[in-house]
Amino acid sequence: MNDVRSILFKVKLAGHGVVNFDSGDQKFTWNALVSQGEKSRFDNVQFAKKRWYKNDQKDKNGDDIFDYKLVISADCLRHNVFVDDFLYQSPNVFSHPDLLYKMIATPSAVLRGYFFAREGKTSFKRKSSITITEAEQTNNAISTIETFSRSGKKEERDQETDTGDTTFFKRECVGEMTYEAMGAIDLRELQFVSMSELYDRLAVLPDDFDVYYRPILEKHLNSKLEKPGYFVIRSSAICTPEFGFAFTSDQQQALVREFFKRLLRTQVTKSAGGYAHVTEVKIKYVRDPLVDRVDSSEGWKALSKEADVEFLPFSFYEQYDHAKAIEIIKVQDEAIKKAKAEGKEKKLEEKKVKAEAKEARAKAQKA
Amino acid sequence: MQCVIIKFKGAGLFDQSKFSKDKVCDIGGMHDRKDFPRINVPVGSLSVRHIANLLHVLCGERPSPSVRRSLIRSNNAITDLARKARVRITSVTNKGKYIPETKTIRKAIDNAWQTSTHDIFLNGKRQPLRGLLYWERLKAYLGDELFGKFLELVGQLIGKDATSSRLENVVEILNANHLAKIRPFVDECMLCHRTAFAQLLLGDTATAAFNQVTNYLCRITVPKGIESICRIDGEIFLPVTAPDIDLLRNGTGVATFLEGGYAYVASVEDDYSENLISGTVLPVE
Repeated sequence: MNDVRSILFKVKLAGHGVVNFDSGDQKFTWNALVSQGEKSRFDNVQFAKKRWYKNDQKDKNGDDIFDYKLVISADCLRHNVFVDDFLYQSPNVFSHPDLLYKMIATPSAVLRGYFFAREGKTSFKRKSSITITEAEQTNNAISTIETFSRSGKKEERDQETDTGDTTFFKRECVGEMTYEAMGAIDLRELQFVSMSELYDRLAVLPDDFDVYYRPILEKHLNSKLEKPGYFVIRSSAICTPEFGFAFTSDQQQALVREFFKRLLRTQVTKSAGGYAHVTEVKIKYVRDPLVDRVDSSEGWKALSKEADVEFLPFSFYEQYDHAKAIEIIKVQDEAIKKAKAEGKEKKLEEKKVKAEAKEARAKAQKA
Repeated sequence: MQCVIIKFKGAGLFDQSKFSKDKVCDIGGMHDRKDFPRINVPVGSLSVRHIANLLHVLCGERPSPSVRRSLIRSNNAITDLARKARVRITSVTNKGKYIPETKTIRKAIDNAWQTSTHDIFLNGKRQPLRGLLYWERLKAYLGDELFGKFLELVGQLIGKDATSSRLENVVEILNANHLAKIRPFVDECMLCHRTAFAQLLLGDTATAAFNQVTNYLCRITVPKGIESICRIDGEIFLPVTAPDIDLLRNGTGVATFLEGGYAYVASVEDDYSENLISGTVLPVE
């Protein structure tokens, strides 16, 4: 049997009320697409996130009729899957290696990916190995816009005649809801951590690997990380080796189990009263991308606990001869240095042109 | 000729904004998004570069950035395949535009200072104070020595238990009742380049931020923002031969498409017919 290249999953959620709201700007879309009687003339309306579909039928004026389904956005789902680890992401952690590596040397950061950048510093980037779609409504619940009030204390304010903080506002409401989302774990993205700028995805600074990254991540994974080296993708036509390290088969399984552990326990709650929780997870191992497809009904199995996830991952990366790699990398490093120097020069030139243009404008204004 | 159908869901396209303060990072450094080249795609189609990047991933290759500087070169065979693809966007449009939604974006660069204010009572009137001011933040801002002197001063003027009160209240009391006595400390703050706190004590202005770029403990930056984005769903029809099919077997069958979109190989049809691609368009260059 072939080794697994990616893992597909389907998630069912159930809950009550709206858990993911959009901005007030949605009133323009709402008023353009709903029928005359449902239009809203208010500004303070909280609209749910939704997807619009064109109905086959037309109204009596011959205009298109649009239907909608409420959704929980992919960002909202992803946030709630990792909410225990990433309550918020602050770029401030980039200021100190201790803070930074305590954040990025964790299974959730390895799975979810990250991006930290600062002017004049090397940026740290890791692409997420998890892709997830938005969870779309699967039942026939219909949302309505209702009026709410929020009470507030009376307060004297300078230069304001209004002394009350009580407000009326409108919010989209709905009853029992069911949703479905799907996604995949890309094992090629998961199994390798780049420690080189070569392919524009430096995830860990090589100098910090032994001091900060390795001890923290080994503690989380409860196993030793492989020694970093030069790797190439087996199937790729581009054979320039990339410095980094690959996770072992057991570590990849542990990381994937970690993700499903979080997914199975995912709950989305909203202070406004709405909630949704995961009721069912199905997975499918992809051994042949053209046979084990998302749309085919074969091969899906229900997942009740993370321990049921068991697979042998395909090894996308192979180690490259160290001495040969060093020779190639020397040439590449020169190219990177040259590109950086050119970038700096270009920036300086742009600044100079801008300053000259500003000066010319100022002179023209004076004249 | 066979046809591979690739479906995508929730692929995000950001609106173009000339006011955007977003940055782009590549090996040449950091650039302003608004000054950077952009792929403009008409509604109902996609760009060849979008499809080529997607196919690179589906074929087990690294995608080469379309507009950012990079050392990675694209695979010409895959780019040529992308040129032959046909696209069908299934998302609904309103007045010829995709329907936008608002998305929270996490900032990768800590270049935006906190600008929200709240009132503080100084010189007999309310003044807006930028960011919360509390003892720990002040300690980080002033440094141990100057902070120690401030604590001593507060102990003498208000009482030793003053540090158990809110710092903002202490500043209000000092400003209202002990302006003359705090003058030497204010001068010292000025000398040590801690002007923002000196001005606050005098009640001149409260809007100066207590941010020091080198000290992350007293910096209050904005870690996230919002952006308007359009989510599109659709299908890509790819005329393929046997070698192309083999290339697709090298990948994982799934890929991320545009901003957070999910693309997957939906089916492989035996015949690339006119019926199959009816209602589709060619991607733009």
